[in-house]
Amino acid sequence: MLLEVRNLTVRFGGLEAVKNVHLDVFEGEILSIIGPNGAGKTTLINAVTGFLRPNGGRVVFDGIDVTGQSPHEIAFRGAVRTFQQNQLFWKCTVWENVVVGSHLLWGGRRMLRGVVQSLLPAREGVQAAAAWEASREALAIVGLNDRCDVEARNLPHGEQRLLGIAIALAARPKLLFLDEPVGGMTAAEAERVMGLIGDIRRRGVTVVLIEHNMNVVMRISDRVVVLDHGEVISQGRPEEVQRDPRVIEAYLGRW
Amino acid sequence: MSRRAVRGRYIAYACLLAAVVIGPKWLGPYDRHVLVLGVLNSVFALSVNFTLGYVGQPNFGQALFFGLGAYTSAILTLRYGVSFVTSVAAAALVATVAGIAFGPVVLRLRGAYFCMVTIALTQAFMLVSQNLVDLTGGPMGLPGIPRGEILGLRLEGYNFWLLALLVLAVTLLATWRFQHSVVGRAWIGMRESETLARSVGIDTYSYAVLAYVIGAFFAGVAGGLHAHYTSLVDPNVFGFSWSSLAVVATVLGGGGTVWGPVCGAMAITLLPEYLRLAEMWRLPIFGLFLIAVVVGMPEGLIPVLMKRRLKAGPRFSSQGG
Repeated sequence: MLLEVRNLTVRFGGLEAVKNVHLDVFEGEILSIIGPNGAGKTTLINAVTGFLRPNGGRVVFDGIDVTGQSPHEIAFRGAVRTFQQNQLFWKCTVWENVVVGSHLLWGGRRMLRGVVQSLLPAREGVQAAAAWEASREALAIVGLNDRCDVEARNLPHGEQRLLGIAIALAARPKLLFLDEPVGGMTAAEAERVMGLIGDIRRRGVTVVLIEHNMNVVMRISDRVVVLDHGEVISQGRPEEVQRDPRVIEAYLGRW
Repeated sequence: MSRRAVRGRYIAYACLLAAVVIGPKWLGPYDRHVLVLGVLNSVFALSVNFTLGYVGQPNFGQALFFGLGAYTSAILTLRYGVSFVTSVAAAALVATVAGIAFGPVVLRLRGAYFCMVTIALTQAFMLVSQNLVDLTGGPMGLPGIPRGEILGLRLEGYNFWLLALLVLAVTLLATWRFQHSVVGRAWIGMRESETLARSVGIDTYSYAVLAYVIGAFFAGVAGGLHAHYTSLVDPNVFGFSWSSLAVVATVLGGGGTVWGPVCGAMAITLLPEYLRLAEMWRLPIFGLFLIAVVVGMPEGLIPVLMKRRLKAGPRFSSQGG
């Protein structure tokens, strides 16, 4: 098991945004977390990736308890995320964006060594070659390799979303969280992204997809977890979840 | 660009460099004095560029390290008679240690809060320097610091120009190397989006402290040299005007670039001096120049003049120069 979430709880004052969530992610799968707006999907991801400190529960990634660790430590373990509200290095070019994304492959975790290396005149080693390759590959996967010299802020919205995914891929994650990657995209663009997620999985990256639109994820997910008011109300194979009366109620309301 | 054009360009650069190095030999003492001050201010501006330009945090307290460096080398030279090189090295060391001590605290904060704390720290040191009369000479400061010598060479006139240029060259080289390394990319990443930087594994807090400490080192060097050059240190080295000089120079020339701070520091050192020709209009003209740059080129002079980018080959730059 790649990721185990146990009894995870996040409170904002009196509001329990995530209640006692139990979640497993298996290596190599595409797991979708769906739920209506405000169900706590993004809060859950924030708590798992270290952007929020959970009020209770445990997160175990790749056999290591990472509960309460910083995002950069969790990224180092191999869990990287994208953002619903797209985050990019706006004034940098597409290429610069992915190169910053490959920070860890440059040995960026050992900061003082990086300082010494940057000051001493040395040839770029094997490590650098691997890092450049990761950046090139990340752009190739999302299909932005011919847009290298465009500044991120000047890209159209759809390509900005793709660049967000490429930055995460450049870090060579084991587990990739995609927070509503098709938000604001046209139907054709969204279709392309779904194909892309399949490609990513085929390269050995486990994907957790967060989405509020149920239909988008049904075809590509191996398993689906449904969240409502911070609680897991249903999980299983897509067709099982789709038939679950609690899920239908959460989406359509009771009548 | 053809090979020939490239070679022509290098020849042009070499000529320019030679003119900059040798030219001031024949300048009058006043002109050379202004140029030396411009170069020292450039080193100081480059020192704030790490936090201000690359990490993108409004550091208005760089005079803290400049002042510590200046006082360190003044006290060591006057009281203990140490050599020039030792006193400047000690200035750099003291400033770096101060950076290591304060950096982890002030960089818990960001933006306006960070800015206020950096100012407050500098003001605190100004009060200390005014009141610790036995050590610092109080408000009168420490006059009569000798220029000193290196390997028997007296650092007078043209010699000091060469030394200042050498220090500037080292500072520029370090800035350039950092910008094109994993360190500089981490800084630029956190400037553009700290959230995203953290998500791809950048320890933004540590990298910000690193920028602060590196800046402290170079500010300490600039302060130590300045003390020897002007022969006087007084509590004004901790003044807000010193900190803002570095900030204005960096913003004017272009933060997060290698040449921007130099360009800006030269402009704000030389312009007011030579505008003395029109004494009445000196400050208004200078003010209008600043406004024009801020309005017309908000990213600074350098990024507008030369926009260079990381091509999909193995190089990286933030915004030129």
